[in-house]
Amino acid sequence: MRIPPNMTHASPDLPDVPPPAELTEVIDRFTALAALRREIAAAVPDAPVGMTFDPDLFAAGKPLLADAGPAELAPDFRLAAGLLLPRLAEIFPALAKDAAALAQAMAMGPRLAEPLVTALAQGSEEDVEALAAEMGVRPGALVFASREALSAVLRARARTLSPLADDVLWQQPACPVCGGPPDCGMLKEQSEPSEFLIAKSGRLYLHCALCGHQWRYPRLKCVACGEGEQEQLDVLFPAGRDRERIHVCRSCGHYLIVLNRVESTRDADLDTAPAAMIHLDAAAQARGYAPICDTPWNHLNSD
Amino acid sequence: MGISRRGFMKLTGAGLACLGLRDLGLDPRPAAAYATKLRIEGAKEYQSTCPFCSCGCSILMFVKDGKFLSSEGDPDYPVSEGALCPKGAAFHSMHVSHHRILKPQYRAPGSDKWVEKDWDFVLDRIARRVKETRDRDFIEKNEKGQTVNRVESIFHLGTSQMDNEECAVAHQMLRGLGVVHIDHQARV
Repeated sequence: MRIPPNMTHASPDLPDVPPPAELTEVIDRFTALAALRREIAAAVPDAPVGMTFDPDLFAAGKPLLADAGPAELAPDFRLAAGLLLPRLAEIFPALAKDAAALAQAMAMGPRLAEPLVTALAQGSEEDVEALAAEMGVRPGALVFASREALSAVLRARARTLSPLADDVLWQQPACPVCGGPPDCGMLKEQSEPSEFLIAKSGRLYLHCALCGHQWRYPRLKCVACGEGEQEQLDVLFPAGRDRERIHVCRSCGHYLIVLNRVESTRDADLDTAPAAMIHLDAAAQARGYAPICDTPWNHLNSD
Repeated sequence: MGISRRGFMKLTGAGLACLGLRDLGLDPRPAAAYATKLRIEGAKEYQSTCPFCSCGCSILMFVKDGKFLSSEGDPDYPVSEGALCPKGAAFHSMHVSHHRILKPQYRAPGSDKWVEKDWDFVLDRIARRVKETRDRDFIEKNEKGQTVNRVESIFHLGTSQMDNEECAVAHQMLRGLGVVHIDHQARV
């Protein structure tokens, strides 16, 4: 039998379609932000040695960094913020005023780092607003910029802690390293060495919005509410863009954007992939679903 | 203070005011306009079990508009972890194969033709043939005069997909008839 020249063993079943041209500017900005975050994370020291690790507590759902305190994180947070803020306005000129004010406030009052990290970690709206007023920045801008700085710190921690985050022990919707939420998912097959078996099924990996760690999660289970009834879970996908999926849950009304990389030889950068699929966010939100993780790129209706 | 998981979830969830694309100087309208042009299709994924061997590997079925479109191994099934043998990988092909027999077929003695029959006909005929065979060949005592109450001319071939309860019911029925030649077919 003659094999067509364009058919190879590695040919994917589903075509890789480039992102829509309409999203070029959004993709470029968030790609630059992801690159800056990585650059800063590379400059932040690794996790301190001597951290205690209890497999039983971890298996019970306690993230590796659950006991990290503001005193431990604040020095690295100050370092990351010092590197981030001067360059944030290059990517998002609209943030120039807030970034400059925040940089000045951090330089004048290094003590602000600890309460800021605490407010972020605890999700305290009142504390964030009070700190924003003290620093003279908008609360939203403070959250955005300081979360980026904290994200770089946590990414540096994850660099050394990730090997401890055993997928077999962890079946939680939050990140096993820092406890952050997933901003997207990816389906990827496991390599199967046996010549008698076929393994092209996609495992679901979730990507942490904060530290960038990826961890496994059951595929037929809602990430937001844990719904496992298959009649309540739907998969939406745009015609012609078969590698892009929206996993939705009718029980809780949340959705997760998932990139299908099964049998694809192209590398997937999950730090930037969600921003290249905001048309899926728009489609899901138009159908009444809410994102699991609130991110700038899925805030499509803010005025 | 510990970094609570709930705290982070609240931070990146709806609790704290989050900047949107407009706040960052970006226009969300092109993405929204592009999304309105997309034809969004819905589908469901169901977990099922491979019918071929006793491994009983879990399989995911992709179903759209009630139609079974494709299948793949279940990556969360702990035994096979999503891997399938060539038979299991052909799960969807078997389902849609034009060779698949969907209704009972009957070939009368001496005939060279298969005829489609309904289930009432075939179940009734099987029951009658089993009774005739048992009535004819039932052995009450063996050559030594010992009571055996068995039928040696009926053989039962089970399936590796039978669970314990099904096996128990089948076993009781067959032993009740006196059938001694029983194979569960529990092998790969």
